[in-house]
Amino acid sequence: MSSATRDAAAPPPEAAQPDEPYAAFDRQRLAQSFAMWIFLATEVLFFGGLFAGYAVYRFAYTAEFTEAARQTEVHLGTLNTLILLTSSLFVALAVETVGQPSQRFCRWMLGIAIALGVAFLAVKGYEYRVDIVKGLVPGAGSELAPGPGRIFIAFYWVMTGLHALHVTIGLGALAVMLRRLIRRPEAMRRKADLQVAGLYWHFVDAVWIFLYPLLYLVGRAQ
Amino acid sequence: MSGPGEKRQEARGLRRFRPQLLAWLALVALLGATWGFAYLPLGAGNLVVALAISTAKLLLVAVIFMELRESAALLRLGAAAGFVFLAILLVLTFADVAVRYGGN
Repeated sequence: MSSATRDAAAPPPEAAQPDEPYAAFDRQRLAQSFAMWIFLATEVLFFGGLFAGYAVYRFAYTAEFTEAARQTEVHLGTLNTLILLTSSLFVALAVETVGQPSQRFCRWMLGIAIALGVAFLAVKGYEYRVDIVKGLVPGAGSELAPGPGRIFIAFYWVMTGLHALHVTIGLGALAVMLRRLIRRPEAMRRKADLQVAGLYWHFVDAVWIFLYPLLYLVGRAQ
Repeated sequence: MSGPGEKRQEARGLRRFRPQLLAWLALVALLGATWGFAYLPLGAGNLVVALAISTAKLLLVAVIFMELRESAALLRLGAAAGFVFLAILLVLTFADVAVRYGGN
């Protein structure tokens, strides 16, 4: 349905008017998306600081970083990248079909995306356990030689941990969207709630796209 | 607002999902490439290749999944702004570090 048809169809009470202060739904949708992009710009800087720090230390201690980075679980990292890319596909499919007369397909796509997100966290949790058993930790109990190698591992834990926190928040947002699709389908059709949650999820995917080679693919050629 | 998104909604069956499905296939292929290239001895080239492929993946996610392709200019500006600030952060940081530690 075009956005004009979407708005002109007889609205049930829950979706009769856009929220305050918007005069029309298309204004609300634009404002919602714009707000999320502004927020994502701040998140880019949030992670950007960590990436900058990583880059500086890697440039200063290249050999030690490479040595430490070789011990990350490349297969689990690669699997998780695949999981997250696929979950983004399903979120995109859900967003594409939210305007359909029957939102059943949309809800299923969203449900699968959420399941994949949970799978990502499960793999990450398992990987953290493997890392701890291997002594791939920055502080006490570390199997790494004291020195800059432990700085790499500190970056690994902080960056993936912060990312996992964002994945969890994203999953919460997607779950709330699924609930809204069930309870208020017409409002979801007219507003950009699902699109906005999707933007956040794709951002989380994009951060991982850069984390993956920097944490898992260093020094593999040796 | 009409545009490619509107036309696609009239397409039947899987054709309407073609951009998303093709983007996903490209992303998976690029993931394979990143992983594969990591095992080739390219020296400093490994990092360059990895970041280049990651950038390509980011563009696919941003333009197709995040729908920047179909978005109002305002949204594209918002997206670009984030990266402009990131560029400032990285360029100024690296300029400083390269001058200080470059002599090592």
